[in-house]
Amino acid sequence: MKRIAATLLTAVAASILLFLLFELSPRSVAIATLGPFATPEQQTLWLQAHGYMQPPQVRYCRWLGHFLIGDFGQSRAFAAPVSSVLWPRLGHSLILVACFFAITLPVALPLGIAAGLREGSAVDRIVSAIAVATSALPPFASAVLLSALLVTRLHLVPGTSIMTEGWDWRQVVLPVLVLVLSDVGYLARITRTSMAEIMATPYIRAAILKGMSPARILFRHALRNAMITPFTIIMLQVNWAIGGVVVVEAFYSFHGIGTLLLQAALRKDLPLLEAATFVLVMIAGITQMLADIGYAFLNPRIRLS
Amino acid sequence: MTPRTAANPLLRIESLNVAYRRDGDAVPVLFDVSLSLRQGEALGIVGESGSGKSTLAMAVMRHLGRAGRITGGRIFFDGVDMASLSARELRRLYGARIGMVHQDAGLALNPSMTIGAQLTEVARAHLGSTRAEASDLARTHLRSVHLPDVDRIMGAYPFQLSGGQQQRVVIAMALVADPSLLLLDEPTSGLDATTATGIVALIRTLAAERGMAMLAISHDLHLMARLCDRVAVMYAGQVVEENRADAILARPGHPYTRGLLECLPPTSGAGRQILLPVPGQAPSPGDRPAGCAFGPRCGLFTPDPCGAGAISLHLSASGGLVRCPKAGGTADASPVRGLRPPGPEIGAAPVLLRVEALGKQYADRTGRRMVTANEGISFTVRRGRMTAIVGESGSGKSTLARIVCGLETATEGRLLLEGVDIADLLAERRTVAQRAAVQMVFQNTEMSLNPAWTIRRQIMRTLRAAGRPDDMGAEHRYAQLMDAVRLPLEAGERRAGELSGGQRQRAAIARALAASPRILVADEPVSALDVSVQAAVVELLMSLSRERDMTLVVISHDLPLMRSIADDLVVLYRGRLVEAGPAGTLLSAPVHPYTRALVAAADRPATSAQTVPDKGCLFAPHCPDRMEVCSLRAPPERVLGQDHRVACHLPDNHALGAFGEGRACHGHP
Repeated sequence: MKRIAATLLTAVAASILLFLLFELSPRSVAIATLGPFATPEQQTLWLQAHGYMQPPQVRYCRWLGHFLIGDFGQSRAFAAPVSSVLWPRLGHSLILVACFFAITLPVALPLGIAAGLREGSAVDRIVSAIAVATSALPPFASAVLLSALLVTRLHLVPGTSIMTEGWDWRQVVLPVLVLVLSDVGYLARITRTSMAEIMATPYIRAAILKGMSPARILFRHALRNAMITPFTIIMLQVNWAIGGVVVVEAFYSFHGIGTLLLQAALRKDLPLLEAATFVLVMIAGITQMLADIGYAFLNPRIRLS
Repeated sequence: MTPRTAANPLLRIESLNVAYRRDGDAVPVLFDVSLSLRQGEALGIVGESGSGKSTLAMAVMRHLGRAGRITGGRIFFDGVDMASLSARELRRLYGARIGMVHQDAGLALNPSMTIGAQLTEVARAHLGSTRAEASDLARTHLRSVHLPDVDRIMGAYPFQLSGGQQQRVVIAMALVADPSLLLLDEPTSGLDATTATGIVALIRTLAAERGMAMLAISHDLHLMARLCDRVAVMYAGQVVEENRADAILARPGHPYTRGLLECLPPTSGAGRQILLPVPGQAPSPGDRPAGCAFGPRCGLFTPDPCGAGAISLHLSASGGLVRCPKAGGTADASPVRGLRPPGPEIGAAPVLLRVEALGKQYADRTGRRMVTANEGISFTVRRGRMTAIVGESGSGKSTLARIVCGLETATEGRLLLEGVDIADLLAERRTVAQRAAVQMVFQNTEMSLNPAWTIRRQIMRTLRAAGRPDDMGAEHRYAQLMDAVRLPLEAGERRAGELSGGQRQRAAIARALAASPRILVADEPVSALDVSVQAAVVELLMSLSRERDMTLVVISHDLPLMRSIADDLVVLYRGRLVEAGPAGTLLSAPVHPYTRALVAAADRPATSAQTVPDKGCLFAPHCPDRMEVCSLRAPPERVLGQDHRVACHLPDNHALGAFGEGRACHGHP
């Protein structure tokens, strides 16, 4: 309950900040909309017509009211309601993120656990070497490499993800692969370190010397404690993967929310920029809330005190 | 179970050799260790860090990690060669036939599992119990270690229990499957003296009831002698002496054993004796000298026979085994300890620091509740008189020290340094003179010394900060300081991590001395050090105090040590002053029941964190002389004599009764 309240408070604070950032000097809004050649009189007329001459708190309330019922206003760049542009883009991004995690987690976590379970073993060294190599490769480079291999050489998948003919799963493969490649090693390494640390604790030694089976030691004694750090990292990555992978989206012309944000910023499309940012802030707030809840589940000390 | 005879011991270790792989080399850590343990017998292994005692315990369990390897010898448990067992067979032994009590119980319990889950899994894995049977069994064993409110404890997580309760849980966990051998690794480390006494008595009783054999390891010779029938002393990977517990205390055969006993303060009030340090430090594994490993630290050493070759164990005069060619000859002379000169008389010593009704409250983690760390503490520190602040963990003694040094501020009361109130001044807001006047030495030098800087650089920095910026004599004074703490100049060019524990604490003392303090506050200055090194650091502090007219304030949980060095004692309990006064008075005629318990180190139930009353005297639930008023009102503080204060409801005539009792307790003439 407290966490939900905290999330809501964050949302309100973020909305005020956004409002201040974008709309506190109305004249710049007018200039952005009417272009640099509009006369001051024209700007004033436009401002009056759009209600900008009212006091800021009134405008904030109206703006927020519209936001809450999903009315984000009109996008200039797309000449359409913001919501009709934003929601499909967000949907695309969410699918991308879902595919990304659906591959990364089942690969990275078991590899990290296997490596951390026996620190210094052959498995550990192989996983660590692969992890370092893949996470050293920046996404734009791996995008080029993967395209060269899978598109130009093997003709397995299309080289762009523009999806003019509607949704096409084959076009999702490359952006997802690039994301997976850039992250799977990093996550595996985090998991490995956390796991190795737990396996060296006195309470794991105590469990071994109590005669517990290796499976019980792993699943009952070690895993929950070892997952705390990777879990935190994963929750942080949800945000990054939804809104922060502009390079990957741009490379494949994937229509996600990252490129949308970029376009809106470049074209000074304020309503779209505000809406997209607000949605991303909300997503960040929600993942943080989920992270806190999950963290409390993993760590009884947080839950009970 | 088949009955065993002396010829068929439960555990037999035959010429065991263990080596650890380090940087590709095999570093031997155990040499030719042979020991045996009969059914129902208790054997204690005593040694300092690096002696190989933990390796021995882990070798018995065949759990040496990836780097450790048994390079020779054999271990038989119940007639079976441990080396012949598969991993599966070992698992059937662990927890079932061999139970283990781990050191630092708080760390040996899984933080994310309930106590109940950690106990029942033993019964389910080894006894094939159903869930309900396992739960009943767990409860039975929790009761057998005298834990109250077993239902609550079953559902609790480790962090919800006190240290003493955690240790009892770990003992109960080792007993669940009714093992025939109990392996105890520093079973009382991290516990207060009074709690430790209770745990030792409990373990002895439980072992006797079950006819269980015990193999215990510890650095504490006296503890092992109380817990075990026989004691083996280890030094640098070898057993140097083995004998009956009483014989080893009364007539130690090996110079090292004798050194260990002489460097400890006497356990009862036998006066303020000067401790006799064992010079030097134990060799690190791989650096053993040829011949007798203790040779370089031994006063009896002669090149022949001590340095000539391997020394073998032989029968000692007191009926045990000893690895010393000189034992039995001149070596059996009893130690001569000088008496420590007392500090100046109270009347002749001016007040340096006066603490008046000092209190400290801070918000807890959630920020909603206020926690009282200190409340209404008053006492005086007089110039030249060593003041010891004693109390169990959680008594607020470290908070008090931090306020005195300006690392924290008090929230109420006054702290007068030569008449000037500095209670709410952090160190950085004090004047240079005030800051220099009070310096601190911390318990853990690994944390308090900068690991990236050389010792020299840290001391020079303090010298410059406390002195004149263009002080040309800094180099000279640095050399003097290093000499004063008996550190060679070349040690100053090293970083903290390259020094031994004792050397690091000397460096930390030198750094504190660089400001020429008039008061040196030392928070548990020797508790992280090996026993044989402790005495040297204690005696160093005492002589520095005399030579430099520097008054010592030592914070410690170690009352036996404090009683052999302190002029004045301040006893704290849960943040409140219990009793303060001249050490002689407090030790011979303690007035407060808590002081009496502490002085007698009487066995009493662990004071658990859950039973703190919200009003009245905080000690009341554990007090043998509790009255009705004690749980209603906080006890008033009364002044009984010069500098002697006590916070207790008991009338003065009871104090007189306590006087007689106190005398009887530890046999003063």
